[in-house]
Amino acid sequence: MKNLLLILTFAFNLLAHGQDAKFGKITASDFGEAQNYSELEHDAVVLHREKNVSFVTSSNRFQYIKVFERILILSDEGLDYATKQIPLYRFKDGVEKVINMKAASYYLKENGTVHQEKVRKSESFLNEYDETWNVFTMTLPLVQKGSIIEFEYTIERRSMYIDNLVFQDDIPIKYIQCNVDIPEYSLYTFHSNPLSSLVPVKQQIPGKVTYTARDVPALKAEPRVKNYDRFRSYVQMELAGVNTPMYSKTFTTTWDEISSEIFKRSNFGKQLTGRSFYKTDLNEHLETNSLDKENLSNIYHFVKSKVQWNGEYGWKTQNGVRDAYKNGSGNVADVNLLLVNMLNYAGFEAYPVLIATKSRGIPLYPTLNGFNYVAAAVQLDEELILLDATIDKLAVGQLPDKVRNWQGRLVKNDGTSLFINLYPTIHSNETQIINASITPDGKAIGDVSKRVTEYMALKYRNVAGDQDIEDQSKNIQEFIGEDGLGIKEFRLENIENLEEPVILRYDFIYNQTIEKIDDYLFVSPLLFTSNSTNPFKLKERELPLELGYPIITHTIVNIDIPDGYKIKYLPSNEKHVYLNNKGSYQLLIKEIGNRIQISAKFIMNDFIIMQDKYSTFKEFYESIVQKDKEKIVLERI
Amino acid sequence: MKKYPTKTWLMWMLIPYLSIAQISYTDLEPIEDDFTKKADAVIRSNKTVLTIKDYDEVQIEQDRWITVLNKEGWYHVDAYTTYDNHSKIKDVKAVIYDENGEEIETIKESKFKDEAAVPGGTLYSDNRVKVLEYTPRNFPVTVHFTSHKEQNNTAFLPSFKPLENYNLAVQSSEFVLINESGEKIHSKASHLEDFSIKKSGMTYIAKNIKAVEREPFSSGLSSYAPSVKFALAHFSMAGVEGFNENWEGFGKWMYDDLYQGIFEIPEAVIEEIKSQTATMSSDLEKAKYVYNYMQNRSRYISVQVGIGGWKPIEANEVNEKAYGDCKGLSNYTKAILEQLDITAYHAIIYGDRNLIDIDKEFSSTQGNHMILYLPEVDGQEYWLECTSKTNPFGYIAGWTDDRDALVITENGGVIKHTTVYNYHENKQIVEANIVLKKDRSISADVQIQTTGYQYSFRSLMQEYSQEELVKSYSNMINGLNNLTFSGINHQNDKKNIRYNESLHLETEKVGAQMDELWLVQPVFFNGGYSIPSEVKDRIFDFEIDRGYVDEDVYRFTLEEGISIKALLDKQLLETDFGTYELYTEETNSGFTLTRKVTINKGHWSKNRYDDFRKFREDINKLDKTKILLTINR
Repeated sequence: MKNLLLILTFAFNLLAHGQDAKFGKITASDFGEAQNYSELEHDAVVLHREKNVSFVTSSNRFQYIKVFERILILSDEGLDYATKQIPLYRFKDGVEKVINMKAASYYLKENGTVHQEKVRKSESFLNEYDETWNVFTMTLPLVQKGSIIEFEYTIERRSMYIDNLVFQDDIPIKYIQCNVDIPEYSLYTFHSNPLSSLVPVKQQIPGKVTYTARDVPALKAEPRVKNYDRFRSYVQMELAGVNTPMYSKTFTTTWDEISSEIFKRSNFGKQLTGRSFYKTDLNEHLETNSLDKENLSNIYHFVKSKVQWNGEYGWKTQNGVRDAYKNGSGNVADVNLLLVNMLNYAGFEAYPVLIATKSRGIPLYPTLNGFNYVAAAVQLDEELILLDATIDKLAVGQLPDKVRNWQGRLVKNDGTSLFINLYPTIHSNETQIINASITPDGKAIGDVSKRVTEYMALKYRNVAGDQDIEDQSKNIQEFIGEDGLGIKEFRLENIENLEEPVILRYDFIYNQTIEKIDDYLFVSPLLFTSNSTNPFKLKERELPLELGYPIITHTIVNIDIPDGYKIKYLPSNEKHVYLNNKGSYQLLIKEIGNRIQISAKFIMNDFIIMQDKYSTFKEFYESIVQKDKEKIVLERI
Repeated sequence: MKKYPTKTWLMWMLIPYLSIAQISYTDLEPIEDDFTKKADAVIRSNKTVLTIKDYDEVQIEQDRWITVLNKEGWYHVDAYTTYDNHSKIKDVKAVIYDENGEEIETIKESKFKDEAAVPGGTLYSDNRVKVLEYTPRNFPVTVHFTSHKEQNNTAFLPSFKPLENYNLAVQSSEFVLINESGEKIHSKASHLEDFSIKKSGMTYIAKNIKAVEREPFSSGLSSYAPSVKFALAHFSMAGVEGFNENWEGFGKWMYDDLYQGIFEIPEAVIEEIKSQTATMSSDLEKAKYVYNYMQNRSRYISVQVGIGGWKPIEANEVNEKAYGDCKGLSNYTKAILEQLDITAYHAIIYGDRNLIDIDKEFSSTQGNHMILYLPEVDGQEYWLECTSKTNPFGYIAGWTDDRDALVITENGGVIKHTTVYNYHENKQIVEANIVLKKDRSISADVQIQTTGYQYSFRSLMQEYSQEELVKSYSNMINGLNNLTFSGINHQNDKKNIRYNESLHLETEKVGAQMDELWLVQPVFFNGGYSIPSEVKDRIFDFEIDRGYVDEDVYRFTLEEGISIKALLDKQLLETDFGTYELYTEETNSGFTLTRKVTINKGHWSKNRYDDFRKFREDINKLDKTKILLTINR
């Protein structure tokens, strides 16, 4: 009984929506939908979107992707939706084409009837953007705020590759349906994005799968989250096998099978063996054969000096490691497989790690298609060290932010493989000591020494840039600069010495820390390093907040009490904790002779704050800001 | 707003082209050590030969040697050449050399990346570019780029601009103009003496120009760097023959020839407009009606194909599609206005945040934008920005204000200066009633009113959702944390071009409390004036394009139990960069704080820069002044 009810519901759904939206069938009531949305909130709303994917598998293999959509424009900004740009990819067997394009705009006339304005052929353009992409562009006439627009078109694709079925847009969707005709004898499995809580309703009958979703909220970007696309609702289709009366084959595979297979490939496994082309150079470069961190670093920086990343991604080599070595440039795989190759040659236990960058999402099932990047991992004693030689400024153990996407798959040539953590485990550390005294006219003067490690050091190196030390110092000074802070005698160490902490030293004059009012001097205990504002302004978040890596900052300030003053008030010692030790902030102040010593220690173990923890985190940060606002009060004797 | 360039962007891409008799790596002068100061790249030798074959045919050859010193310097290689239906690339090639002058690689034309060159904001254009794709592995690296192309479009000619950019040093740059056509060529030279540029006949040679850096508030490279601009008196623009003796003649040609057959609009539209405006008594009222009519039904779409890069689309077509680019929308508005006997002229201009003039001394194809000039409506002149769906009638602050434009009239081209928004018109007034409470919380009613230039960014808020408003107020009010807003109300008074905001806010734990002492920084709703960065050995003069006035008046009421320990001493800064005033006065219920900032428009010599910094630094500091209160337990 229960099953029957389910089937009935299906049928109802299909009837209700497969039919009622047809191109050109617009009634006055469709415009009434505008009342349900705020134009200040949303620029437009998708009233109906339908995507039908079907295949012709006879002689030539074609895929037809038919799209129909009806959009109601709510604001002037929403007029952009009246311009359609369809990127068309050049597959091996030919470039994609847009066929049977129909498009129209509609507005409601004063007498309550609907005016239809169809697009003309002259209003579309095909732009040969470059060797890989064409762009089909068209724009609709007579569109205004409140107009409804429709597009119906088919993309002809000479490939069986099925795009992800996407159910969420940057504007709300009232109703969306995706139908995929499964080619005869093909078996597919379906995977929905685990990072989205919105899962469309699936209905499957033999030969066809249909997904529907209603009232899908808009996905909006938020500050401090990269590639928010990752959180979109979508379904990925995996070709699991073919099963004909004559023949049957399973494509569904395991990670281990993938691992064995990839080592047989000429653009992967084979790249890890050839050595003759670099042997002499490397032997000359290496002073010892020892398997320690120093030598690891030597080889790593040797690869960076020989091959420059050309900006192209991929886990497959583009030109091959030999060619990359000879010409000095290559894609990610060219660079990093060369690194693995050399490390193995030198005797290190090194492996490739397959990775999906943040823009790629995460692989939902065992498949090579899910990856677009490869890095290197070295097992050294008990430690697994990750390396990426594509970016000049990275040190041993560091990956670029775009690559630190949860897990990567480490593959071994014995056919085994395992997921490894790509997130940083070591805290990035920033320690500084400030010695200050107070001048009679109310300025703080003194000196600073600061030591920065790991990803924080990388940040300083990126800020420093590639020019000479003079420019680098200037860039760093601008970066650490605060209003009213004058920096003198600035010295910078280890900017180029990537395996060492970055060290800054300077003398300062600061004229904004001390207020002289009445007989009092008010002094900010942390001088120019106070957290004076809370950067987390949103009341709540829909997406996680990404801080990048675990952090410890420790600031020690020594302030001499000026002659003729005594302490009237010292802020109390205080400790704030975020979620039982996921983070903490401790401020300690004590008087030692005629000095005040302040220590502020901020520890953040968590670096991805989930939506539901955000308000707790925000409060934690707010309490830090409140604490830092308190002043030392000195009173004239 | 997407008010972006028409086809003239191409002109910028044409600068600089080079070359003839080829030299080899060993012929290059070595680079002296101190010559690389501030430089990311060094032009070793750059030769452009421009040959005028006929009024509609030119040949451009380039031979360019550039040594790139670091990653940033790759930007200066500029190894590309643009083309379209009116030009043909005959040859393009690049050879890469390492530090020792060993050839690393030769990249032939077929290996150049061929791609569409569509500027931002444009839907489609037929311009394309062939660009070198190469990843250098080590620095320094030297690129030898040669190109040769022929073009039938002669409305723009390449200029001689040896110091092409910031952070680029030039050992040698040469420009040769050969005129085989007998056509007259106009030219205009600037700053040649400052750099000892040698000129013989139509050959210009620049030697040893040191790199300069971009400096804050600077008046721009073109105010400093040497250049020679060229233009043909008789030219071809995408197949259309044109004449340019001076601005008057150039404008006359545009008016009489180029802009013909584009004004027709359907009878039905004319009738509708006429009947809607029949009862209006003044031309101003009618003109406003037309502008508003155009704004409501049209949107900005840029398509630039062939002569369409310079000539407006017909008014009929803009009417039918209800979209157009800056030229199309301006022309459409003009066509309707003229049906009501209101005169309007096309005006060619540079649309830019910076004030960039059409060069009144040198007539040539210039500008990247078009607006409309109404010489007299009820005794006053107006400029209309027709790509905006929201601007009040005659409002152009921020993008086309205060600069010379070319107005195309029946008597020829005339240079006119657009509306200047004076500092006293560009005003923001913030008034607030604020209650300070014993628990250190506050509640405040705030009113903000903006006019003039300041209206242009505040009025953007009318499109904001409640969430976006809260976000932007939270970012704006920097001294207070954890704000709660209510009753946000905005009113866009388009008639008086004034934006009104009112809101209520509350927050806890303002300032810092030390025992009974409560230290408060009372300039709550303004401030955050940044301090311009320090520049050693400044090269450029500096300027402020638009002056303005900010006035803040806050009336503080103190809750019972709070008393004043120390208010502010009156602060006054008076400089030629502007003035600043901050003072408090005790009242019955508390005190009033008044802050007034005036920033002047102006151009100052580089040696005043430190004074300017001091002025801004003083404001920054004074805005953080604290008052001291006591809270009775």
